[in-house]
Amino acid sequence: MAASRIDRARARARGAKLALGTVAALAFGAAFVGSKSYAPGHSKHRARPLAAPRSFERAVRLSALEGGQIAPPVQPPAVVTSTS
Amino acid sequence: MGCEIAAAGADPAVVAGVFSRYDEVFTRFRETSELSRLNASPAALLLVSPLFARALACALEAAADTEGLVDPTLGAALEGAGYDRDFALLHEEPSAPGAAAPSRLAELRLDGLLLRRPPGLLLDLNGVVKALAVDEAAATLSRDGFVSAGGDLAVRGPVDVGLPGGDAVRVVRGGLATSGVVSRRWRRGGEEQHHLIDPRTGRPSTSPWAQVTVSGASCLAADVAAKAAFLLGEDGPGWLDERGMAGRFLAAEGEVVLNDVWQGEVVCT
Repeated sequence: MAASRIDRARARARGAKLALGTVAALAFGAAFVGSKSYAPGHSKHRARPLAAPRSFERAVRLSALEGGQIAPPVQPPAVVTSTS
Repeated sequence: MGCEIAAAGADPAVVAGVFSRYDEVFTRFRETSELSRLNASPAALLLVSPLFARALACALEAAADTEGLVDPTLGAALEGAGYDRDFALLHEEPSAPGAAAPSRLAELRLDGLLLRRPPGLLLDLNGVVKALAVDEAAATLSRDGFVSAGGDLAVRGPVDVGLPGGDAVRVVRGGLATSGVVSRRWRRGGEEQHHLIDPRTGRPSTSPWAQVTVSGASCLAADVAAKAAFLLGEDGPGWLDERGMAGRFLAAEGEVVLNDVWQGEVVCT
């Protein structure tokens, strides 16, 4: 009789654990799908590089206060530099 | 960007697209720009766009390279001087300029796309944005040519360029930029104002130069160095020489001063 009560208690505990595990798994799955679908910080697409050409990125990275190259002019100016 | 854009050797639509993209994000004169929304935000921690983060990172690097002379935190000083609308709309006002607003660079932190700054700190990235747009547009050149915005330019292949005061120079590689107070000046409360703020005083600079032209490895390098050399006044030519950068200084009275590097590289016509 005592063994039977223990068996029933164990069965109730197993059921409760199964129910809790199932609810936790469902909640995690729903949150995962929801975050993938709606959170803007989660990329839904493969990451693409920035639009700027690589030569620009290279120029910006290497240009910190580095001199250019100038020479005497050989023909009338095509463009004028002025105050910005 | 409130300046004339010229290009040769490039697709005009592509160049216009680059400048339009920068203008939409960085103009101080439209409430909808990212910069205006950020400056108006009461939040201390903000998520910025990749373009904004890249420009701000360049501005912070420029500040470090120039020991704080080229500073992105001078928006309040510019507004105090009266530069609170498009330059074409500025006119003389009887009210005195606002209080001085020195640098707040130490209060700014950028980590990736996360920007931390105290609310009320007004950013102004025009010290680097126009040059960045020129460099990005120049990177799209399909053949030899140039891109110029308000006189700041980047080249692919040699280009002869007219200089303030009538000289000329051949830009073989990189960029050329001129900073000064000849065109962007206005009066406030009877005092002359301009857009080159000295971060040490929070007021328009009292530099003896009218215009400073610098050759750099890129338009950005040239523009940052030109602003710093302008703000340094009499020390500007030597400061550029120490960095191996060619600089041409036009004094308010019309005298032209060439630093040693410029003299070594070019003989002006």
